[in-house]
Amino acid sequence: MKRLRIFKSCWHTAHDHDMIEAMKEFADVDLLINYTRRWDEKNRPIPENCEWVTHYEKGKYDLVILNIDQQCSNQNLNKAVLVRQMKQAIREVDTEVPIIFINHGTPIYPESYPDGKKSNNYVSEKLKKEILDIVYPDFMVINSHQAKKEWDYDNSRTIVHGMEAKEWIYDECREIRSATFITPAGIGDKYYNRSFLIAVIEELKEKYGISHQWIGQGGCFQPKGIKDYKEFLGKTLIYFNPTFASPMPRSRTEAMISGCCIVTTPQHDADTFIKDGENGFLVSPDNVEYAAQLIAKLIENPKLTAHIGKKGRETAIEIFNRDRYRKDWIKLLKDLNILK
Amino acid sequence: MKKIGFVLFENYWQRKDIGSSRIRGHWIIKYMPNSELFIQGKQYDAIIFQKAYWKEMAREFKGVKIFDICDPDWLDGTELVSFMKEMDAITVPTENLKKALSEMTDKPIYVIQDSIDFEIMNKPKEHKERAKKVAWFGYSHNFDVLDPTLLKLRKLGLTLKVISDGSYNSSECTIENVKWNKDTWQNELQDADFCLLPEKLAGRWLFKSQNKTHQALALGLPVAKNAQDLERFMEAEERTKEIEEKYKWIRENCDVKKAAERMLEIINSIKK
Repeated sequence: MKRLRIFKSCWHTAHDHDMIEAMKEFADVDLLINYTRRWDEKNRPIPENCEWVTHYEKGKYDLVILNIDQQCSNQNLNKAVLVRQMKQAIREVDTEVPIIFINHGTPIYPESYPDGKKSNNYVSEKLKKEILDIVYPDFMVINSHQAKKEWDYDNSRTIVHGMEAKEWIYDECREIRSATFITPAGIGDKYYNRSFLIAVIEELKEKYGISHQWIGQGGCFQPKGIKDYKEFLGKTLIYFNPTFASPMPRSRTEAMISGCCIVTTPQHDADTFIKDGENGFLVSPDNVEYAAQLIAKLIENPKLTAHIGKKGRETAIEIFNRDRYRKDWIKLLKDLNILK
Repeated sequence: MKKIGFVLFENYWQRKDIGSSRIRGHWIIKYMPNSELFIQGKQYDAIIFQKAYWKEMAREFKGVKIFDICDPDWLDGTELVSFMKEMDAITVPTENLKKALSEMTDKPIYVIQDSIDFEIMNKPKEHKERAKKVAWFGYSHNFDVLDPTLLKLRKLGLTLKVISDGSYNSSECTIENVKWNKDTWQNELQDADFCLLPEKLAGRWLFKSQNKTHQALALGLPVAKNAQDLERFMEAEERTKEIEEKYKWIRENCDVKKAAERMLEIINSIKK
């Protein structure tokens, strides 16, 4: 196998770290120095197969990987500027190099694209067109099968993330608590389904006297860094994922691989790997009463809950492992005739 | 010919309509061949860091590096000294800034004064009547320079028009607030009879350039800096006389085309 040289910019450090580590045996990656996205070295070391570069050079690279999500439709955002500028800079000098866009989002953004509210799944056709206009005619990797259907772009494939289980902590002894880690700020209320999370938190507090841990929020657990976060997850009994449109949230997989019992909405393929009551639980994305009741019941039965969490961890290791992730990338790169 | 990229303060910090980026970036790019707003990922021979402290790029970029600075940022705790170490040359708008920076670096420092893009400026205002309105323009964090002038404005029966990013309020005299906008600021300014731009002459304000004064004069508006000036510019005749004297100097000395030429000369003088 000829070793590849890839040009890319940083995006989410955790995702980049897992991807570049997964490509270690067949690729070196040049990361563009840019003023929008930096590598979060506090939380993830820069992989050995990475180097920093100031610009794209024609003839040097076998592949370019660019990152995008639905927010890149907003041209005032620096990350939207970055992806557009990178594509422009590359195509101005090189029309041949293959570009793969990793699309981290879904065409759901009701705050800016209210046309999506008219459809059952909130998909905005207008947003879809704007993002795909940036991507076209290049290839797109999408984080979930549901998102692939929603983007409805032929030149694409789903590759779900993969992580190294041994980089996460699993403790047989679980603390009797439930937790969620989604961003509290900015847009994405429907995307992250924050109103559902808030309603469940209130219901848990009022009806059952349970304080759910919205990680990073006032009064809740504040991780001091990735190590602290991993230790917390490794001992947490239940992880609740309320998201509606986030395609395969990493935080849920991290919790699953850490042995938390997962209570999740069935969105974005979760119902294909969570067997309700066996390795986790499914709750519909608006049934507040049921979700709160379920979490309360699981807290009352920690042994059974921990056992289900352990089963979920086995599922996560089987599905979301780095080896599978690496193989998916190799297959794609071979199918696209980039890796020979 | 060298390909030149301008990393502007407003792009680096994701801000809009920043005065220094307009005057020392957009206007210069317009008249400098082979220059453009920096595109991330593109290869350049020279980079101008316009008040953009992009340390990673400054360290790694092998081409010509110019740091263009128009404020005494070290007074705000910015690590200016180590940033300048990575540069080939520094450009500043004032002699005072040059003098201060020369205590901090051995790198060559050149003065390129803030200039005017005359192609986009309105025709200078003509003065016919006794003044009724005086204008101040600038960022709202500088509003305090107006406070000592209000009583005098009331005595002279002048309305104060404030063109800014915020609103200035006082009951001492009649005030009209207008939001600064790149499409309307010139007309808004020319709606007044002259400008009032009092100056602070201490601390960080010693380093301020005369760019607002130059812009006002380019629009045919005399600039009052003190109470005597306010009285003097009440009559149309005085204002006409002032503009006749100053406009010629502005045209000859503050054309942004010259600033662009000078910047290019500096870039080309650096051999790497």
